[in-house]
Amino acid sequence: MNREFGAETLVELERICARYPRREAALLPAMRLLEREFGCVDEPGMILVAKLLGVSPAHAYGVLTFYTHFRRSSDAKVLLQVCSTLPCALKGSESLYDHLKKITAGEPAITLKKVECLANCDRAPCLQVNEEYIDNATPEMCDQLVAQIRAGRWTPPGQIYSVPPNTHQPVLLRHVLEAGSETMEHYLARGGYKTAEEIVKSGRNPDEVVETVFKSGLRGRGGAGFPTGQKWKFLAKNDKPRYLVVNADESEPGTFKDKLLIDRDPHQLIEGIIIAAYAIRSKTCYIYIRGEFGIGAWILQKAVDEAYEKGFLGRKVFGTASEIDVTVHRGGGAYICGEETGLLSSLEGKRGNPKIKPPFPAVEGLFRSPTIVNNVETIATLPHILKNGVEWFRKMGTEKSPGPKIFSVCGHVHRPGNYEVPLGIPIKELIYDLAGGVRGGKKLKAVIPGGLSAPVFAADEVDNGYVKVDAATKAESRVPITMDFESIAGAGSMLGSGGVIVMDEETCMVDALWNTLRFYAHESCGQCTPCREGTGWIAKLAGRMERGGGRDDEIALLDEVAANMCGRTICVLADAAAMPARSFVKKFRAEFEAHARAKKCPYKHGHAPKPEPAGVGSH
Amino acid sequence: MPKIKLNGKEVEVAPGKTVLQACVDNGAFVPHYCWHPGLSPAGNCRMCLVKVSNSRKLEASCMYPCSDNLEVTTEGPEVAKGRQDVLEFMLINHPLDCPICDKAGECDLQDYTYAYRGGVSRFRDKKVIKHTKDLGPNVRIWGSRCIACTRCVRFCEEVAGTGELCLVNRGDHSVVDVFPTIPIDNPVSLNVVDLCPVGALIDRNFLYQARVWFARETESVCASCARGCNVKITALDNRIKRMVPRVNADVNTWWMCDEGRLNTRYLADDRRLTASKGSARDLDAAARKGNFGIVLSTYQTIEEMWLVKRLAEAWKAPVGFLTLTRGERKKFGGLVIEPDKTPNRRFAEKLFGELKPVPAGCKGLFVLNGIPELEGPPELMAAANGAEFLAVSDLRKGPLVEKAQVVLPACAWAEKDGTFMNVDGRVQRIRKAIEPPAAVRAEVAWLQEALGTEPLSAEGVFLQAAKEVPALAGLDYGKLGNQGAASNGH
Repeated sequence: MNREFGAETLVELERICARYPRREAALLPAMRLLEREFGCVDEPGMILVAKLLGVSPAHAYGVLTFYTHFRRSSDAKVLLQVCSTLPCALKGSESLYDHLKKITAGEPAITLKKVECLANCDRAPCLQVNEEYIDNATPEMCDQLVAQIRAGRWTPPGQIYSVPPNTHQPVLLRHVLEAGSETMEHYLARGGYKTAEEIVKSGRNPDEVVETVFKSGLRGRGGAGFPTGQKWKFLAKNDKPRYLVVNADESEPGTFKDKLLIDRDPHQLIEGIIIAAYAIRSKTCYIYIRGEFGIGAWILQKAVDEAYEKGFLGRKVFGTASEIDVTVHRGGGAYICGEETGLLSSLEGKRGNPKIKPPFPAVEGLFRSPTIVNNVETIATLPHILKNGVEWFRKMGTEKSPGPKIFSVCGHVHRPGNYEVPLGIPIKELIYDLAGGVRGGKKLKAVIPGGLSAPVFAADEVDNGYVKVDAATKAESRVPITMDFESIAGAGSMLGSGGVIVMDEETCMVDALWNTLRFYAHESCGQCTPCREGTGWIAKLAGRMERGGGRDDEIALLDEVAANMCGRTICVLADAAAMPARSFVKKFRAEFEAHARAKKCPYKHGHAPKPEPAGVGSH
Repeated sequence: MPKIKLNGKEVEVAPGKTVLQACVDNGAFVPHYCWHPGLSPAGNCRMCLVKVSNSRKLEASCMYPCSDNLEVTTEGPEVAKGRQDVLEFMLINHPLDCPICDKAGECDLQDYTYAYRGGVSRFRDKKVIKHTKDLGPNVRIWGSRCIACTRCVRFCEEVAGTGELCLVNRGDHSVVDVFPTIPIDNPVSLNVVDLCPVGALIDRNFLYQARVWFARETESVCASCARGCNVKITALDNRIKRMVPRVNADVNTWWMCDEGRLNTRYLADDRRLTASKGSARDLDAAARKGNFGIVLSTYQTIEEMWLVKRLAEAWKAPVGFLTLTRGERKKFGGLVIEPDKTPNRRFAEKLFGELKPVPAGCKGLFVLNGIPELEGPPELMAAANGAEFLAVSDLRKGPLVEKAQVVLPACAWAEKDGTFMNVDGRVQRIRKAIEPPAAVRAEVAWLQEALGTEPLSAEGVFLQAAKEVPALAGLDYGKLGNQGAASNGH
């Protein structure tokens, strides 16, 4: 069988190719065209796009099998994907999956799969039906859903957006719940694009804009917290084109802020892009949006189109000689593409393998040109800094972590959701006051403060502060944890992407770790030996422990294997898997020992030890 | 040039070189899998970890640039621990099926494991099982042995230019594969087997043929084209089991072609000519009757050609040539496949000038044909049919041999010592890797008998030739070594 695109699709593909300096960069978009035209990406389809883009079919095959989100020929018409990562698992997604497996058995119209974090953790458990999200799913909803699909009359419910009440004045999230907030009219009506227009029309030296951002102290909101202005200053000065890449691959489990910013206020992001591109003298911007955000990509594309129409993007930005092209590039389902160099590999049409640094992207990045990769929230903060000034920005937050930051709180809290607060508020305020504390009158057991990769805090640390040892006197004191980069790092974890996962006293920490480690084993790109093999190994160790087959000496082994993974790989995914593992073992060792002793999970078998919250120093 | 301190010793490094290259150049052992001098670096196996002065953690030396005053340590407990840990990870999902793996005995995974660890595995869980299947006519994969170093993938992209291989899936399910309907089938495909640092990619022709530690390896040169790729011949029980390339930067770099590798089957052919008829003295007697012609193939060694030249002078016989060209000149990185499918045409031209066709109308004819796949071209058959006396030396039986009064079975290139001059004028040694069939004698032996001179070894004949042939002036087997030498005037 041969596949051919129709004439219109061929033109569409050429239009896509024209947006990249190399044709093969259009491989992922071309696979989306295959999905649209033929319902799936199959072998004849791959041969077709390989030929059209000038790559070998094997290359296309290697790329396709790297990503999990493309529809394959074995998938039925309706693809039902149940989020199985920790935030959803804490809310019962595993039993939901089992239920769905039972009720969809033998159903030819449905393919059931597990999927990793869909960035919808405040509405856990959630599933995806083709591109649509189903929030707060229950077994009853699933029964209904499957019945409707069978009857051929299922219609998507539409995504519901909500932001819980917040005592702090939001900045980026201020308008997200207003009707039509995603439209150009709405954004213009609230004074949108004025800041960007003023900057571009003023013809001011771009370095001044860089300096403003540098002085504001804005730190990257994607995870590493690197100062944005500093990153911009690292750009290599040569005559190669410079690229601005927006990292919209929000996939750190427990983080769901960028999705809200994209879906509900895309023009705020685009205005930020215009400012950033102007500042770094880039004429080309790619927004790399994760494959699972099909709807987000559609909303974003519409907003970009509107901005082109208005003349805010394109050849003559705001009627000046400035140029800026923005391309929405949709990923294919791979956590590692949130790592900036993995993202760049993916954007180049390859497997999302992180690249060896140095050279850093600012020196040699996308298509070997100087490249800045910034997170959605970082870019969306820019219009506010440029509009209100450095002083205004620095009034919020701490000296070293200034400004507002969106924290996504999920898990066992009363009011999960996005909380935009000044950096540096007490972790207790976020969890207890804003998110309403642990639901159902239960006690807190643990908190992961910065997305799944961050080392876990025991309840005692959250409630009473972390133990700080004075270097000189060796005296111990308790220091309250606050939500800023320094405090969280001081407490031995990291602020990361700001995804706060809360676990109550009934959570089995061995099970939670197993789930966590399965995620990393599934998402390791597989190039570096310690990560490729290590993520799988520690996941198996935790799994056997949870299922009752673990030995006491394997608790130490788990910790040691995790330690051996650290600092030995191209990117930090290995460390991101190892750090939770080591912190779980360190802080909840008693639970691991209980599993090894009882040869089963004490939680799942009815006699959970009312475990003392295992605090720091208690072992 | 930057100066670095390598294990406490100061060494100069060419600009742009990585730490691993500096270590290799200066004899410091650094184990590695994914790095290969003929391929782009990948930095993925993490085996080449070393300690460098400006980093707290161990660094992969294959990607680490040498900066001035950098201190590099390739030994010591910290480095050893790093390598042990990487090896442990490498082995957890590896099947450890060394007893039936054809790579055993020449496997980097075995060697480094032996060097760095005891034999205890701490892995108790189920291994990931990956595919075992044919990837093409010559290559089979044992996916579970694959360490995903991507040398083979990079080779197909960067050297072969065919890109049939890719890495599929991710995490610990990553494994080398081909596109489902497109096998790896290119002229240099078997290099991926040599490149594979473990037993994942196996030459189907070598599968279960020999334990390498029982086999004998002989350094020689491939005779299948005028390039003269440097090879190692693996033989067991007097059979050639395989040929693999040897590195020679001036000839074939790291590679060789599949055709050359596999062009050994004729040695054990059923139609192999093993019985002689008459003798070299009979040949000489017939030739001295006059009106005698010689037909010489460009497959013959320098020594043989030299002796034939002397016979031609003694017999006043014209010499015509059998050659074989096929296809186009093909380039794969540092490897060129020549259209001239014989190994010594260049020397024939040096010795005899322009190569003449088969002499017609001779009463007597002596045919010396070492070309395995050439059997009686029409002009040769015509000349033979017109001759009253025919002497033939050939590898295989055929119509010519049946007609001949004197038959002297030929010795294949792997069954004798000698030298070839490659297309660039480089003189290189071939070495006897296996014994010829019982009754078959080396050509130099009976050619000297025909000449009636004191019998010398091939080496002795070469020394004689070197005295008289300007192109060989100053050369001897010692100077040729195992990398050959440019001939005089090149």
